Amino acid sequence: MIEFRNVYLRYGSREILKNISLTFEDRMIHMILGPSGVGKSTIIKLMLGLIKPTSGEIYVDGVEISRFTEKQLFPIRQKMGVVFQGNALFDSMTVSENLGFFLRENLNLPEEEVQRRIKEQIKFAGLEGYENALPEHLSGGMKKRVAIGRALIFHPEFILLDEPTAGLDPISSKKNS
Amino acid sequence: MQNTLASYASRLNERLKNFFLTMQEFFEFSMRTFGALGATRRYWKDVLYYMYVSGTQSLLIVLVSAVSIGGLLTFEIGNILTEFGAKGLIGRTTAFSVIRELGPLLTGIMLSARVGARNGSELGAMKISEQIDALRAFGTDPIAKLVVPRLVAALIMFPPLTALCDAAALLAGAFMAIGYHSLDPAFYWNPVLNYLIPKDFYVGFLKPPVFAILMTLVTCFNGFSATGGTVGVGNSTIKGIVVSCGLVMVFNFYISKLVFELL
Repeated sequence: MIEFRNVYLRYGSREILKNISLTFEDRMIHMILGPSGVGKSTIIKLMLGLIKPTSGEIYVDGVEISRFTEKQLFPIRQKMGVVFQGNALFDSMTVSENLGFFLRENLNLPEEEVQRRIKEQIKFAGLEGYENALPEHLSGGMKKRVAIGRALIFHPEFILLDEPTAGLDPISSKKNS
Repeated sequence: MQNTLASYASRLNERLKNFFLTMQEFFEFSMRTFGALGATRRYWKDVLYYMYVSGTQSLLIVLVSAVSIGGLLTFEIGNILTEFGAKGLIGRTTAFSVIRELGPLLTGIMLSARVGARNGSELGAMKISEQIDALRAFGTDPIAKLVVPRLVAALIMFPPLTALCDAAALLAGAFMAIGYHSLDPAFYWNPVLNYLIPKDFYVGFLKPPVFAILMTLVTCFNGFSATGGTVGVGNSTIKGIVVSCGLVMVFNFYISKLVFELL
């Protein structure tokens, strides 16, 4: 469960979030809707500890993380798979390397298991034949599917999707859904 | 009048605050980089890659600069020394200048420009495309993954590049002394080989590791601080190179002074 209690976020004189209290239950799909610039992406970044709130508390599985250091946050972040608004694929890595990044970095899995999971995600995302392609050679929809695959491949507890169908045509959007 | 003064004071206050804030962030960034040095073993493949990038790929530009400067130095010094009938000092003067000052300085500046530009632009582009945030989100320390391998590679490659730069500059000097100033090769090489003392080498080879640390930390820090799209990446890259080159020059002077005063 992720919980926000009276969270405020200010940049200088700009108030981004004002007294936000939210609860995201386990095994539920939650959606935040709103016009651009109201802080939807910011909420995801706060959940990941990528930015710190000005005041208030953020709990992940009952642990207050808003004052955690980077090192303390790593195990928390490993519970979350995230798809950024702009995908944030590692552009010097191939599709396969992007998909296998988390597994190789953080889980001590045998290489055969890593390869098996990558193949599974490639098939799931319909990216057969693009395993060794760099992100720059993929279409917008394909990039988004790689980003989603990268977030799902390690079976995280929480999946955070920041506008997963933004900027896609209706067909790509339906495929991603 | 009073309003103008107040606005000037407020702007100055803001600038000073920003300057000290940046210094504090840079200090913290440097401490985190040194603290993450243990990650070298984990990312040894990245270290090898960056050794190739900052070492092997930089060899040509370092050698070309060394040959130009070494030749030019001997040409100019030779002209002056010949006027005073002291042509025999050409080798000694060239050797001292190259080993103590020009070799390390030239390598430091060339690498600040070449490797520093790469660090700043690559990391800046990663920052604005949220790739650095993605690394953090996937539980990877971006400093350990992106900065430490660059720092270790620079620390390993700068000293040998400086040695090659010294050798190329001395050789170019020899060609100029022998070919243009008609100096006997023995008169050039004897002082080069016999008058240099360990202190000259301490000065010359204490600098490359210091320059490697300065260049890597400054350019990577600027890359990590990039904001505001492609223009922001350009600005942070330029800032990184300018500050890094400036620091290389300032530290070059102080290291020389310090070593000569202390040893």
